[in-house]
Amino acid sequence: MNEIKLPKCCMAADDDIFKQKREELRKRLLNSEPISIGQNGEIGTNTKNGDKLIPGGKLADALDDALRSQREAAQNSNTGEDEFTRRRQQLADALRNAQPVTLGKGGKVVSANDKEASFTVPQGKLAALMQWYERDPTLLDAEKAAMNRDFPQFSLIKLNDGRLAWVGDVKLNVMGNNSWRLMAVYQPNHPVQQMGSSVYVYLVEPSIEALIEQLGWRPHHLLRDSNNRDYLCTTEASYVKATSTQVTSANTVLRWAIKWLLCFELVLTGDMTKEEFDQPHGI
Amino acid sequence: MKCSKTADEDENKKKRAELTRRLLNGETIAFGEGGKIVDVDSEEAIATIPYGKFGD
Repeated sequence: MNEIKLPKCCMAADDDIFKQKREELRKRLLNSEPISIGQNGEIGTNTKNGDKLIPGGKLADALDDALRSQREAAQNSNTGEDEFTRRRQQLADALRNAQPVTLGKGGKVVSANDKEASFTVPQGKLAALMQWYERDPTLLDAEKAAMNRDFPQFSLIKLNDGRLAWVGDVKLNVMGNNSWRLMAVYQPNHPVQQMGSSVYVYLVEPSIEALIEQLGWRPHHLLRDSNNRDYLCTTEASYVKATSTQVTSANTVLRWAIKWLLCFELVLTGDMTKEEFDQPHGI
Repeated sequence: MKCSKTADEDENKKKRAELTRRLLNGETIAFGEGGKIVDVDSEEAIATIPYGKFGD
């Protein structure tokens, strides 16, 4: 059997003294009376030189105050962040919608009625963010007139990203009764002098991918857009006009597309060789 | 005597050969309603294909 041996001590005798001391401390604590902390950290009720007093106030309040101040600081910090986020969002919306933006000292963006407001950026969009038809509505009218004259079967649509496109069918009557559905998509920076022009012509039906798969041969004169889709290389850049007096329109590009398709049909009927069609400097 | 279908086929073949020649020589090509390829001096002609080669 295990035995626990307790050393001899005056525990019982001292216990009454400690009990009294604890009772005294309890009363002082409950009554918020001063309690001293000795140099070695011993708690007492008699203040001696060098002792420190626990300051008045309740424990709970102190914690609450600390928590409250910390929470407020955090909330202010969050509020500040929210405020910045909100202001950034407002600024982005204003820029996107071409609304006026007001600047204060040092170029700081402020609200229009702010004391610091010193300059308002005039209404309007950055050219790079605009579609060509917003910059030049007269050109859009001219494009529509040209299309309606020669390609009345084409309809103008707007893509989700704001680009305009003409969609319609052409039937060349060279290779039987087949028709081609084309989509001529204006790039946002139209007009630009570039290979294939700034109006990209895609085969909608039949698709170029389906044709390549069926023929087992990929026509050389195709270009790839930024999404890796093939569109017709309708012309070399040198034939494209993009000046203040002359612009290569969708009408012109579609006429070149008809030539491309005519050559393609003649290859399929065996009247033109693939080599002739694919020759580097085109037809 | 050739049947009408064969005659049409021959006619179409001639037309395609002539179109191919014109294209390869850079001559004018015209189209009418719906993109139908027609003779340049035809009454059906709406527009011609502008000068400019596809290629690189």
